[in-house]
Amino acid sequence: MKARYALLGLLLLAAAVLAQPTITVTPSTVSAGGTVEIKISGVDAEKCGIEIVDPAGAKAFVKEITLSNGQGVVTWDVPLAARLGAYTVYVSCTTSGAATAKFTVTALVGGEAHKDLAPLLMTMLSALAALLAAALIVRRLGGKLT
Amino acid sequence: MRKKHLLALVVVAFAALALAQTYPLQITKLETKDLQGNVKTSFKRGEVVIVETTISWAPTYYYYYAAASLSYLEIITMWYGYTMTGLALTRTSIGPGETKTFGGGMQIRMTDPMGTYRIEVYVWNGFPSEVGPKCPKWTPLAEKAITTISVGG
Repeated sequence: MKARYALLGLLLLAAAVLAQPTITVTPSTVSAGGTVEIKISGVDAEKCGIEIVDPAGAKAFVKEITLSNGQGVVTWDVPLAARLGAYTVYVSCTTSGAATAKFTVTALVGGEAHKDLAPLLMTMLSALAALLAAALIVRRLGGKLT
Repeated sequence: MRKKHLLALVVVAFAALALAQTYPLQITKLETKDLQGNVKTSFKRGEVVIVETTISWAPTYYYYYAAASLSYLEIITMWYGYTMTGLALTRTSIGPGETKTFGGGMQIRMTDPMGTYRIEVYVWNGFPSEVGPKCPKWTPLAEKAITTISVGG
């Protein structure tokens, strides 16, 4: 009987040691101004604390959630002025324990580069209209003179 | 009482404690004020929102005999959508039967969006980055409190 209790105790201890929430950060690289989604898989309706630490060690995000059926999602809109580099996500839950993950914030670059031709077209149209007007005036004046 | 009955009793007691999720502390007050101390919930951009909270510890016999004081971390966060626009925190301790008041000021910048902002207050034993999965395990010490304010131009 004692051996059974000892085995049960060891199993409970092993379960406690191995318990860990699963966290998924999407995307793993995001531009400043973008959005990061953190999915947490834990146990039932446990509470979880989520903390995101920026590359300088400052707290960028702190949140507490209650999981629903062992699942929870938090979303963070990365500020445009966010520090660039590697961010660490710390998740600690009351039952399933703790886990960490990383993602990277990069500079907002790109966008579609194109030349704005509107001013040039407007200038050419204006010049054309002026030429037509001048030609018309010259033609009328010429007819009267002859 | 046989050993298996005792074991079953212990298991049930632990399960009840785990499921009850009772907290030693309570956030008994959460108010937003202006710099003059007037309670208000409508602010303009450029103004400072003072968030004032009161925490109390009405100990059960378990916590009463377990500790003479309880250390905690109180975190006040301000949110617009999924953006955390403000953060204020304090680390202190509280004794049985005591209440503690903490206030934090957060400025609404002129470039911040107008609309409804959410203020959430958490009371933990530490940040997840500080307390590990084991001793000390991360623990919320009070049910979180939430309020909202509106921000106009």
